[in-house]
Amino acid sequence: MHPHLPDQKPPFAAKATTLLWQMFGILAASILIGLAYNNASPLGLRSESPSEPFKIESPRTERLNPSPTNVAVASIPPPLATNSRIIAATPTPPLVTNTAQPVATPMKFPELKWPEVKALLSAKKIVLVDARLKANYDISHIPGAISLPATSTAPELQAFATAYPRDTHFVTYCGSDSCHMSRALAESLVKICGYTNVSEMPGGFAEFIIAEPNGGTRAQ
Amino acid sequence: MKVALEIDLKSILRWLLAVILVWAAVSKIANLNDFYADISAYRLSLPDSVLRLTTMVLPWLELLCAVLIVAGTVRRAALIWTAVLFAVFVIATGQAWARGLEISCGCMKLDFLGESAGKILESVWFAFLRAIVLLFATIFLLRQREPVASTS
Repeated sequence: MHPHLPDQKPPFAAKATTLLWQMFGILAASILIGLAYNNASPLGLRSESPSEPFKIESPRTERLNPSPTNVAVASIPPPLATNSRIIAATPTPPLVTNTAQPVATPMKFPELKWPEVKALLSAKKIVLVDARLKANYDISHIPGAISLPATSTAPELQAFATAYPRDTHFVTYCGSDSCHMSRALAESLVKICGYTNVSEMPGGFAEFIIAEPNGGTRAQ
Repeated sequence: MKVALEIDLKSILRWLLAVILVWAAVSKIANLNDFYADISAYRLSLPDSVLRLTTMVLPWLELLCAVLIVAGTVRRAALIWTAVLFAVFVIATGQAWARGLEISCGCMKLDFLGESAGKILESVWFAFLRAIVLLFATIFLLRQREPVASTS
């Protein structure tokens, strides 16, 4: 046997150990980067307690309330404080100002579970609104829901509002309880469209799909 | 000639895998909440903490693997992770397809290809078949020996 052969070709165990360490390194790096990104980025996954008030982030608020529409929004009649179904979480700064400052009024909406929503939907007492992106709605959505993405612009929301009377009861939902879109849309329906009877299904599509086997509907 | 063709095929496969992994990773990183909702919809019997950790870590694992496969640094380890990922995707999408779940696979955003094409490409049955093909491609790359520098 050649005396240098073991040095030239490392044994299988040594190669396997090296490989395992490299794999561990890749995984550790992914975990570290993933957690750091999640903490640092506004796009990160958040675990919200139910009592935590929702705050609209500035860029979105500016998009939904561009200064030309602020005047129109200011004329929306019903003050939130008199609405028994919508409770402002903090005492109220004015809903809309004519300045370019973003409006961050924390709001809470009545929260409904899927069984309640199902009953109301069957009785045609609510309009169920899917706040996710249209592409997600098209792939699958709760039967009977209509699509109104939370990313809709103020003119789009105002156009939507012409189709439903002011006393319509809307229930918004998005992907799951970690998704902010349903609450953002609920706020927009109140602030921009002037609706006063808006609820939220925080469990979203995930709650529905867990409760209803094979329940999703594709857009036609 | 044959050797040159094989090397080309390997390079093409590596780049193809890397592009797919990068696209999938960026789609997820850009909207972690949607991705979390997508994997929740698979209705796997996993604790929420595991789903959340998966949501945060998996896209970065995909991205790192893509970079390492192309760069050639610790390529074998990256390919093994890639194979593990595709195997997991095969199982997840396969069980969803078998159970008839009408959900988005959550793999990657392909809306730019058009509405109907996007629907098909994000469906679980297509994701299942795609994951099988990519798993075999990864295994093929894993079975290839890295070229050894000539000493003569």
